[in-house]
Amino acid sequence: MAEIKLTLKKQPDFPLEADAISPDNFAGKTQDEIKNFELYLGNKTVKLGDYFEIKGKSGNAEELTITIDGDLSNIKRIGEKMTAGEIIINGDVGMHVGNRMKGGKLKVNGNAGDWAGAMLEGGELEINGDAGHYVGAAYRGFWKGMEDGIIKVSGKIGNEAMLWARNSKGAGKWPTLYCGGAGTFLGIHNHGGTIIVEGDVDRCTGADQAWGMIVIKGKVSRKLPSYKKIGEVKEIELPNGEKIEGKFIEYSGDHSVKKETNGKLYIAA
Amino acid sequence: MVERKIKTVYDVVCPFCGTLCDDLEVDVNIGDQEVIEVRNACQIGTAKFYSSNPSEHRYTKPLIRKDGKLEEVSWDEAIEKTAEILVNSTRPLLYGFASTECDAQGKGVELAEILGGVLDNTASVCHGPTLLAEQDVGVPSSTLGEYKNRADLVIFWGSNPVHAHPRHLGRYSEFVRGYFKKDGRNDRVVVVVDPRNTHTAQIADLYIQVNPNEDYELMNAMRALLRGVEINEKEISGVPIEGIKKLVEIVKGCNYGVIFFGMGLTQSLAHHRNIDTAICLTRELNDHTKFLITPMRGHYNISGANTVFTWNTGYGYSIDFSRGYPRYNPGEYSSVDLLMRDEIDASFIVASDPASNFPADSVKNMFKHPLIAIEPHETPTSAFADVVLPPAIAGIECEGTAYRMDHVPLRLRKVKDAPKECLTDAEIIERIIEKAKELKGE
Repeated sequence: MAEIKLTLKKQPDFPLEADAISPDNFAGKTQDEIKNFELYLGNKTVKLGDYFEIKGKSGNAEELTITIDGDLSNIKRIGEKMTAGEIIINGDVGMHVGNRMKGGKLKVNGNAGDWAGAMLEGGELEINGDAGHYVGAAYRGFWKGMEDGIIKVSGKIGNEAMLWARNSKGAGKWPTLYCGGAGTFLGIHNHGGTIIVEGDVDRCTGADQAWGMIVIKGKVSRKLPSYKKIGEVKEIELPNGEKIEGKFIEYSGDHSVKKETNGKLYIAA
Repeated sequence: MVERKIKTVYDVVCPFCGTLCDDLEVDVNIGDQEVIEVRNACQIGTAKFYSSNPSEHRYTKPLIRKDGKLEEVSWDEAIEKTAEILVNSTRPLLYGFASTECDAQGKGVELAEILGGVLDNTASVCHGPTLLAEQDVGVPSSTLGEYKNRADLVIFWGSNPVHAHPRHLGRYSEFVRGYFKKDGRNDRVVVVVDPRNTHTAQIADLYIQVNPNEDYELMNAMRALLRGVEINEKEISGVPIEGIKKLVEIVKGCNYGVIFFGMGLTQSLAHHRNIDTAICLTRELNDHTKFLITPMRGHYNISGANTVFTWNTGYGYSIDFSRGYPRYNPGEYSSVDLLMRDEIDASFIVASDPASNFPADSVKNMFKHPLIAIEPHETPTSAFADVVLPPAIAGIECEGTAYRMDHVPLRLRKVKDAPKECLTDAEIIERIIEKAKELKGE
């Protein structure tokens, strides 16, 4: 199994765009070639080797693990569009980590910035910490957000997570988000995403949800008036077959989108 | 007594707010080029015309900060200094553009592309959320003339035109007699939704007091009621459910309705989601009657800034050219966010005063780095600038095009000459572009 280890040498003065760091780009490259990858610092380009120390040997993308150490909170777009392999980040990371990734695994042992896992198309993003706004969301103006894959955030996430998430029953695609707590407008414009929250969420959860499922094991600061109470349930089955036990109140909605809707919201009783 | 020769300029377009009134008459003393009378304009528009007259606040020569003090220099020196600062910066911010004409805005786009900088306009702190919502769910809208002639229900939601757009009510929305609304005010029902009992609310037929920051829930409930869904709550956002049902009946029952919304929606909590749901409500009302929605844009040519930026780059505001091509992401490339995170190393401010409007922390970060202001008057921004470039005031001292809040372009007029050395915004930016190209060896 191939492994590349990157260590941050110095903090960039401006946000550094490091979309070059992904198993797909590193596959089959020598250390010198990787050192010469271009990163973007404001309107200048810099070399990857200027900011990172590189150790280890590369191999196939599928078998490659990239480990990055350091405070990467000012470094953006790590793991953008990755399709295979694994990235492990030991430290905080900046915006757009793992955005549009299609496969593989990305693990952050720290906090992540905004747009973590935005428009995810597959693979698994795990954040052992908090994450910013727009986790797994669609970018501005897109009508299809996260389409497949899993995002797990142990801590709290910001606003508007899973914006425009969209499932596909035929293709067996079930975009899923697990998180410890969430801000406002969780799952807004949801079209089939599944969201499980261990803790509390802020106002307007599931606003404009056409279909999909949101499970909240904590409290909701203010439920939307357009959600209708159906009754109490003791077990919830998620689309991926997983079962959650506990006492929940089941609501349907968002009825401001449709009079009859398959959208579901479960809040711990 | 000195004899005064006066010329009157008719059909002048007012370069103050997005209403862009086009029926002003301005008297100018030809001898010393002073505005002596403005007819038909509101108080704010009149004041803007008078502000072009000579005063201690008006800049007439380019200034550069030397040893902590602003000193008069030649245009060549000021332009060279500006171009040097911008070309040597890694992440320059070009901000403002709302209160100038379209030609200058287009030049701003060109300069941002050459510099690889971030280009933003004041929509970033006013109706930017409107653009975000329009991108998400579209927008059913019309020109103001349609509303004037046809609307029998006018809703002002989170906007207070009596103070912010004083002649809007008289020209388009409330008192004016339209082709099919011959009795003016009596032919229209006016509803105001606002947390404050504003002066607009006081002349409305129905005032609905909503809790601050809870407009989203109120509109959400209206949309559900509109679909025939029963709501088991007594009160939503501080409005009794009976009141909401009555409002739903009013909006369903009109022949032609319009929602004018302002910063009460875009800049309260929920921001673009307020507009998102307001647009969805408008769209769904078209199942029952004719309904449209229009933002009450503030600066007179902010619609133009969005339009010009969009036809040049594809995006209305918050545009990053750092990688050579335009990218768009409000929150990441929007001015306030960039400045709060201190990601900028030079600012170029055109026709705007961010120091008065941005959060204090972001302004502090802006002042840490070189600052260039194209600004006719002394403002909190220009007072701390390293280079001040004095322009002719667009719409008063030079011609140009501006877009009204409903995206109708109107030709601005020149009523008087600018102080001797002042150039137009477009000329100034054009000269900076030439110098920047020279410095970059292009």
